This record gives sequence, C-alpha cells and structure tokens, in this order.
Amino acid sequence: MMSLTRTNLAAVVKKQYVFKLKSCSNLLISLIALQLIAILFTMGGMVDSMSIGSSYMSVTIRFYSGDGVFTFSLIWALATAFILTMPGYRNIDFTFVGNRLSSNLANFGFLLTASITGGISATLGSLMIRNIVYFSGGSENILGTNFFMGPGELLTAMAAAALYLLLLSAVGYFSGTLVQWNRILVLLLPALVVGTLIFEAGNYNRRIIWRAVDFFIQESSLALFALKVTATVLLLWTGAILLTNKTEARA
Amino acid sequence: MQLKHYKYILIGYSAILLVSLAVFYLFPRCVSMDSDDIDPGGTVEEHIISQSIHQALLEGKLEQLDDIYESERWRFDFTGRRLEITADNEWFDSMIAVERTAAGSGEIVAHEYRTESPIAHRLTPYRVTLTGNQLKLANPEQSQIVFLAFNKDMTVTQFAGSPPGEHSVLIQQFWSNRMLYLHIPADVEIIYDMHRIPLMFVEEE
Repeated sequence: MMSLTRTNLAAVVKKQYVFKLKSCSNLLISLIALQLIAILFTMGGMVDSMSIGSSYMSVTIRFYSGDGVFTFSLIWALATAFILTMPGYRNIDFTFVGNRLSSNLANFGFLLTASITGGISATLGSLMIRNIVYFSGGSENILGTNFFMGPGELLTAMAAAALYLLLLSAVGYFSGTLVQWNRILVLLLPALVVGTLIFEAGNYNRRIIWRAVDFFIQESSLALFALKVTATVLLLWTGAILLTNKTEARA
Repeated sequence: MQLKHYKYILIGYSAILLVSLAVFYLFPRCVSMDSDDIDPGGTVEEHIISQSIHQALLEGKLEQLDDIYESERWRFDFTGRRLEITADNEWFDSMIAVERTAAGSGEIVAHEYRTESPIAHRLTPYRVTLTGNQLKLANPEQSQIVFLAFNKDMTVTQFAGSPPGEHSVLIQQFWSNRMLYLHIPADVEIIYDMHRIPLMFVEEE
C-alpha cells in the first residue's frame, strides 16, 4: 500500500512537472529576453573602464564580462520562483489530481531545470559577448588577458551559475510561500530585508544578511560551495513544504 | 499556437548559444596582446616617470637605454647664425634636449625618441618644421586608443581567483614617454622662450 502511494506520488509529480515545463515556458522565454537585454547592455557600454592619458595620448581599456548576464539571470531566478507560488500559477496544478506536496515537488523540479538551463545559458552568453567583441572590435584592439576561457573554467562557471540560480530560486520560492502563508508579509518581508541591510551598513560588527552572503561567495571550493547550496536549498524547500501545508490547513 | 512560438524561440536561442560555443573554441584567435606579454611587475613611477631617461637625456646617452627607440628623424640644412625655436601650441609638454654639434656642420637634426610600449608605434609624431631661421615645434595630435579587455566572470573568479590589481598594472604598460633630441651646430645662437619650451642642454664631456 505504501509502495503504491509512493508510485502514485512520483507519477503525479512527473506529470505535473512535464505539464509545468510546457505551461510555464513563458517564464523561460523571459529568461532569454533578460539574458539578451543583458548582452545588449554589456555591448552598449555596461562595462568597467580604465584610462590613462596625457596631451598626446589617451589609452582607455574597456573591460567586458559575462557578469551582467549572470546578474540578470539571478534576478530572473528570484522573481520566477516567487511568481510560481502565486495563486495564478499554483492553480495550474489543479488540472491534475494531486496535492500540495506533489505541486511543490513539481515546482522544485521546474526550478532545478530552469536553474541548470539558466546557468548554462548565462555562461554561454559570456562566450557570445566575447565573440561579438572579437568580431566587432577588431583583433588588434583586444587584449588577450582573460579573453580565453578554458573548458575547465567554462564547466566551473556553468556549475557555479546553476548553483547560484538554484539558491536564489529557493530563496524566492520560500519568500513567496511565506507571503502566501500570511499576506501581511508582502510588506513586512521587503521592509525587514531593506531595514536589516541599512542597519548592517551602519553596524559592521552586527551583520546577518552579509554574513549569509559571505557564507556562499567567500567559498573557494566548488565542492563545498555545492554542498552549502544543496543543504540550504533543501532546508528552504522543506520550509516551503511545511508552510504550504499550514497554508492549506488555514484555508 | 503560442506554445509553438515559445518552442521556436527556445530552439533558436539554444542554437545561437551553441554556435557561440563552437565559434569560440573552434576558430583560432589572434589577439593584440596576451597576458604573458605583459610585465606583471613595475610601479607607476617606474613606468611613467623615469629618472634614468632624464639623466640619459642630459648626458646625451639616450640610445644606450634598452627600452628607447628613435621613431622619427628630421634633417634641415641650416647656414644661419641665429635659430629661433618656437612652439606651435601654448606650451610644449615634452622633454627637449639640445646637443651641440661641430660648428659649421650646416645642418640641424631633430630626433623623436619613444619608450617601448605596446602602443608606442600607434602614436602620431611631433611636427617639426624649419622656416627661415625659425624651428617650429608642435605637440602631436592626441592619439586616442581604445583597447577591449575582459574580466573573468565572477562565477570563475570565486573558485579560480584573480590576482588583485592586475588591471592597474596592465594599463601602466601602455604608457610611452617621448622626447625630442636636437642636434644644433655650436656656432648657432639659440633663441627660445624658456617658459614655453623646456629646453635642456646636453652636458659636454
């Protein structure tokens, strides 16, 4: 009986996941749009620059990177996960016979897929920027420093980007679930985050959010970083499942 | 119908990204300068304000320095007794050295020297002309050079690291000092405005 239930849950989750991939494909389109906008902004001048000059010479170096594409993808992950918890998207799940758990698991599957897709595409977007700069800027004006990205670096960047997107999507999903649990949090949550950031800016010794950020961005081992992200994501997903059950009970 | 459009967009974007990947790795690239070409050491002072250049200029031993080369040379026949050196611009902002040559040699030679730098060959030369007994010096037009460089993505630097301050070192490598060196016969009287033209006379041995 137990085995049958598990099989049913897995089957429902799979169906909901596949359906979600199709019905939420507009969210993936928005990722493409954001990444293209980021590439356009980068090519249009969203770059660091450094100059040195005198009356007879002026040398400017413009530094390009794929960080814009990655940052835009992070914003997308946070927003998309939040959107998935909203009633409009939650009600899509009622097309199938399922429960909140299957719905959450299907959402996690979608976010995992989206994060991997976003991580890979954001990193490839960085190569696209390099190609555009190379072919439009003239090879004689390009400095080779950091231009080449070895296959190892490429894979590291893809993995790291996917993990960051997964982390941000888990944060977004948990925040969205919190807001659905109690609507007053829609105002309180941003106020709490912004207020804490302002507090931390003035109190270097009392840092909560920045310590949490440092916990991830200061990690120099990819394996440990993956472990940290996985543990945090599982924690946030579990929290979201528990909160959803409470939301259902209240409803 | 809309789903079909989304599908095409997804396939199209994926194809563009894959082509980018292929183009990036399959086509050999020839870039202006690789990181190996850049001297990682050195400070601003070493690259920009070199006391050794100043000293060598005063001693007339500029060509003995390793990283300096002659980029231009002007020769003028001159048989006059007085030479007026004037600046075309309000002031002349480079080092100018005058070395006296044998009296009656009948010619004035001007040399432009530059310190080696990846962009030294791209700079426009000074303008030196002789009209009558007036040697006119003009600052070159400003050469505006833009290089395109790359920062490693933050998703790479977190795990691979990036040497701090590499960019500030990088841009210093582009600086090129330049100076004029004039050979003027010893019997020619030189007239110039010392506030506008910073002439230095090479010490005689």
